[in-house]
Amino acid sequence: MSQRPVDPPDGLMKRPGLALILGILILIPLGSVSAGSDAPVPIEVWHSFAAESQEEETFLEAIATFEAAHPHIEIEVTAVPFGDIDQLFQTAAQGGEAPDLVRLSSDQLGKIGQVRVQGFPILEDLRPHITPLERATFDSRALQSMRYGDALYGIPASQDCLSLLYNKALFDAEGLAYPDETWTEADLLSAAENLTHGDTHGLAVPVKLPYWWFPFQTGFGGSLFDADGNPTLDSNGSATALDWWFALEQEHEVVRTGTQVETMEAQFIQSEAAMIIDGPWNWATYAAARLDVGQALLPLIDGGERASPLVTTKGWSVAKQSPHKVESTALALHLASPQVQKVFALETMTMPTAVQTIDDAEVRADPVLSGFIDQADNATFAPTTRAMSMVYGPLSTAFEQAHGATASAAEALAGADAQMDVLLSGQDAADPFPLLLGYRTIEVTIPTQENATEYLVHVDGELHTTLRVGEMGEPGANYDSCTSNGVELLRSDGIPIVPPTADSWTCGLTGMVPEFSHAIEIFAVSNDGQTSIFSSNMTTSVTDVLPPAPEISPILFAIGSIVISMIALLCFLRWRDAREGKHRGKMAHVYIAPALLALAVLTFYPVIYGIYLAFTDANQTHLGDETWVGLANFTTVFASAGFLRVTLFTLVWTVANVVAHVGLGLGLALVLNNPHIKGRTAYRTALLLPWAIPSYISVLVWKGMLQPEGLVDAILGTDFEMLADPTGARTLVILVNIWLGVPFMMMSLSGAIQAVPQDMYEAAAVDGVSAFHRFRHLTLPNLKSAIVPLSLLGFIWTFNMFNVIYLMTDGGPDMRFGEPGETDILITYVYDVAFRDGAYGVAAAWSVVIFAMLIAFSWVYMKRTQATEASA
Amino acid sequence: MKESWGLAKRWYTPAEVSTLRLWIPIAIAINVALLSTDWIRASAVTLQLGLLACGAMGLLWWLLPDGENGWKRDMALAKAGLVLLIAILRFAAGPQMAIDIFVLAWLIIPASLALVWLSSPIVSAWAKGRITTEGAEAGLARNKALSPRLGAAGAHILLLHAVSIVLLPVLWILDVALSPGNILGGDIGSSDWTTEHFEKMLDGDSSFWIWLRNSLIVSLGTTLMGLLLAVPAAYAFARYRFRGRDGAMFAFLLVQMFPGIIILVPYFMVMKSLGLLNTSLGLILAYSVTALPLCVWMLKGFFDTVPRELEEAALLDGCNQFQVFYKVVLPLSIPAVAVTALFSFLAAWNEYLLALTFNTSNDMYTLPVGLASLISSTGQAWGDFAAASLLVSLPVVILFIFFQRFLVEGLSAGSVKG
Repeated sequence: MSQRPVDPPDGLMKRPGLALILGILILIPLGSVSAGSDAPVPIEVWHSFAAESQEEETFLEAIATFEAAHPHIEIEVTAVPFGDIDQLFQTAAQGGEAPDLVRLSSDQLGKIGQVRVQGFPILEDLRPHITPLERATFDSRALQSMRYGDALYGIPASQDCLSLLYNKALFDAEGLAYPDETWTEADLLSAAENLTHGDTHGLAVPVKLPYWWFPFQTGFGGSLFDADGNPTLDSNGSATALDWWFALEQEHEVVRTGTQVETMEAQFIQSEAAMIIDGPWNWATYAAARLDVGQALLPLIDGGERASPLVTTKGWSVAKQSPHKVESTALALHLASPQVQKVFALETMTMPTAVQTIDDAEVRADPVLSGFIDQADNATFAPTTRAMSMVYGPLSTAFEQAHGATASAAEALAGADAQMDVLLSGQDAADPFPLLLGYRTIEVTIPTQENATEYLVHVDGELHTTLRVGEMGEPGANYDSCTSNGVELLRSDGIPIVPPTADSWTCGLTGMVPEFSHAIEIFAVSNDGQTSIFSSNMTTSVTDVLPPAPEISPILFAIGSIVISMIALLCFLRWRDAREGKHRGKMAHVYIAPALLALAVLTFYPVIYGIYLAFTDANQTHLGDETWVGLANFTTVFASAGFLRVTLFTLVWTVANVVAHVGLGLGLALVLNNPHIKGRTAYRTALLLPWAIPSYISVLVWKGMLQPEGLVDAILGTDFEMLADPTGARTLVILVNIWLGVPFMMMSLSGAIQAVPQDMYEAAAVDGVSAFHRFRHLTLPNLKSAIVPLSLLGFIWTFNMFNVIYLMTDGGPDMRFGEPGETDILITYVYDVAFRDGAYGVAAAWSVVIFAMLIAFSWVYMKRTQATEASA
Repeated sequence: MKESWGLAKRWYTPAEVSTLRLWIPIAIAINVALLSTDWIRASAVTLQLGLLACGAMGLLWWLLPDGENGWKRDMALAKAGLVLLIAILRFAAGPQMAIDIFVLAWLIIPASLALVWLSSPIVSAWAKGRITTEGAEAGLARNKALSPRLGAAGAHILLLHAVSIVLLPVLWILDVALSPGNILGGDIGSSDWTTEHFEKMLDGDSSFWIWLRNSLIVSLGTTLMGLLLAVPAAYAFARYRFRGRDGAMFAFLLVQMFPGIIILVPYFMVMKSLGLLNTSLGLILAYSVTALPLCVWMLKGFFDTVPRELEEAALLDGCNQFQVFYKVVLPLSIPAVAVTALFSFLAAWNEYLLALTFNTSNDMYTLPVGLASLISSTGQAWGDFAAASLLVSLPVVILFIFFQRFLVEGLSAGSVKG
């Protein structure tokens, strides 16, 4: 692919230092990489850009540029669906198939940082891999957001935050002044009120989502966490902020009831909302819709501060199990380099994290980018901690309670804060993983020079580290280590400060290539100029320690033994039959063998393993190191709050669905069996559509239709938020699942009806048997052989039907802290326990409970309906 | 004479009355369901009126004449009139939106039909017991012509209702797919239509074709392998009694019961150990195993209905076991095979989780995973996504139309089953 020409930044000629940095950035990766052998190095990269999007295109161009500059590196790119990339990465890492480089966001790092597989984390700590100058390329807050504890798990390539966007035409129509940075929340409210009339609302925000409320919590004086990272969800001002926030929708009605994230864009695009709080990502869509959109900072809060949105960053992370970490880090640095970030900014409206790009004239010339960069200056970076990743659960419950007025804002937030404490104390925490001493680091010890004001450390001819002599400084951020007499030096803007009284200093120079001889030269700068005080070639020969790859042979052994036992069992049974003289079915065991063996090979081992996990304390913080805990997990399961409620709803859900599926399916099949109806094929095809269309989109469309601004409310002329009401939500998820499941039953039963001999009906009609009795005594018994297995399987499938509830309500509304939501069934709750809490042992115990319930039901059902027998 | 009079009378019910007997409960059920509109609107007056109307219709049904008690017919007419009155009152009392007209229709039409039919001369004569034998015989002939038409009319009404409920979301998806821009929402049919999303998906460079190819390979493979594994097993379960039969049948159910989410990692390891990661064969095996329980049980149920005498006759004619199966049992079970094949195909076509986890490179992605990768972190290209979803459904719809032939006709019963 051709390389996009990059204009040299305007200010470069005036700032030689900057040019030097630029040069280093291009050369150091080149230097470090070409040092290796010339064998082709394969690197696998996973990204989460949307397929066929402009971002993907820009990304692929950046990859091509890198490949052109490094011919011996072969890059394989895989696009992974955004919503699943972190889960997929964890699964692959546990299975030993992780990619070398993966794109993750800072809030995902908060969860992944806790995972330990066989004692190793799954991401590489990049602190020794990058030089101080490479670090300086990035905005320090952005870089910090990629750290989990002390470990640096990613190179930040972009950042996101919310800001205020407005429709200029609507403002002009009302003769109102545009929002600007002097606006207070009162100005916002009054403008919104003036702009709300008819179908148009002043503001489009999803009031139930905490992420949109955070700026205002900060504005009113509250904060999510205190300086030590403890949750302070109910801090001063938070309750006021929440009340003000909900009042926008409930009292002042400047926000349309039930606005969702998915629909607020549509609202804004169709000029039905004058203002929207959104990120820069939709700008292109708005421009394409020919809207004249402006951007302004989020307002000041009277008596408080400016509303300050949460910033999350996205960056590139290297897997711990990657055998090519040096090259992968080089690639990551390239993808996050100022040039590439600039292209992303200008082509896709992605906000940059590189200092140079942020200050770039072209970037600043774009009003949108410039505006959002200003907003980021007035924003709070989300802390990358476990607590941050867990905050959304309790907060949504608090929002549900306060919005529905079952609790006041203060009470709800206090409850959420208490729940956070419970969650945090109940979690295992993984120990920080120590850095490999000496890896990619060369240590130099230099005696101090008299009259030296500065020391310049050059590596391979380029500046690497600067030290300054002085007194003032603050404790460093622990990216690398510079000491004097064993004491860590203080830093000023990241530069180590050597006390004048020190007699020597020692620095660990990071970013070195293992087993490569680096030329190190150190200059002392004084008033008389600079002199070289040290010159040597040094090497670090500490090589990377890879985590152990998961072993395949035990699994093959397990599968093998399962297969052999299965075959032995079949032979034994056949032998017993033969011994008792039953020769008629002598081939039977052979006929069932292939199917049973396929089943055994693929599914027995995972199920047995799952059952085993239920008796261990398996947790994401110590995978591979489970210990047996007996029935402890089961006690947790049965004692958990809401266990009975969620089981009850699961049963109601299942029974209602199966009865409706079979009943309606049978009804439709019978009606369609009537030969006098024309167009049966057309009817059947139309009625089969719910089964044909991917349930992902059809369930989301139903969800959209049930919103207050959706179709159903429009038909009824009401404003009722159906999915927010527990009973309503429960009824509706059942109805949607019925819509999804009837076609299959209808089709299967249609087929079954064909098997019923027709002559009986004529005889019965002659005898004067009514239609109803014909159905009850003739049709139904003959369909038994189809209805029984269908209803049994239907029961099992519906019991474990995850998709519909997950997509429609995600188990919500969550009315109670620490308990399943109102529409949670057992399986959706298991998902929460497993993936949000990482408590795999407990999740496995829940699964075993589900398993046992289903076995019990099926066995009883099979026996009572004699399902294994043919129909009478 | 008197006996034959009684006989004809006994066996004759005018088609109108039997139709009413069948339709009115259905109308009552639908009206009860429609009461939910009043409940959502929290409108007590119309709710109570609605309940009254349902009660009146219930009485109407109970009072339908049976050919002997003439008074029943008069009372039924009165009830029908009552229903009409209540319906009109209810309509007047509530907001008169489109939905209310629909609700009104479901009350007025059954009631009016009852009024009209019950007062017609034929029915009146019958109801009051004044039918003659000739009249009864003529009536039976008339029934024979009329019943099917009435039945068909009723069936059409029900089917149209069902189809409109089914098609509602589909029309919305179609609208989003045809609208310019990429937003979800908006009114149906309001903007000018464009095929840009479909073009983007079907463009030669787009990955859609790769996803389609992979999905076709995997789904067809699953169908074949599923049938190959399930058919012998189902036959064995149907025909033979052998030790371990119940247990084996139960075993097929067992694996459906364990929640798949927990066992994803060990499943991944199994696939990796067998070298089946990122292959079509791996997915085909996994999906076949998922579809096996239904295939085995459905096929077994069908094989059960094939009379043994037919097979024994064929054996006597000198066929071996395999020929018996191939020539006798299989043709009679074509509907079951069709259902099974369709089910296996769809199980593979729409499956997301395993395809996502086991495929580690983009050129092995199937349609569901490809579709998901259209979603970006900051919102979704709904137009493209809707267009892609419709394209994904298209092969399935074609398959449906094709399979319906096998489903419905199979081989006509009668002579073979005899």
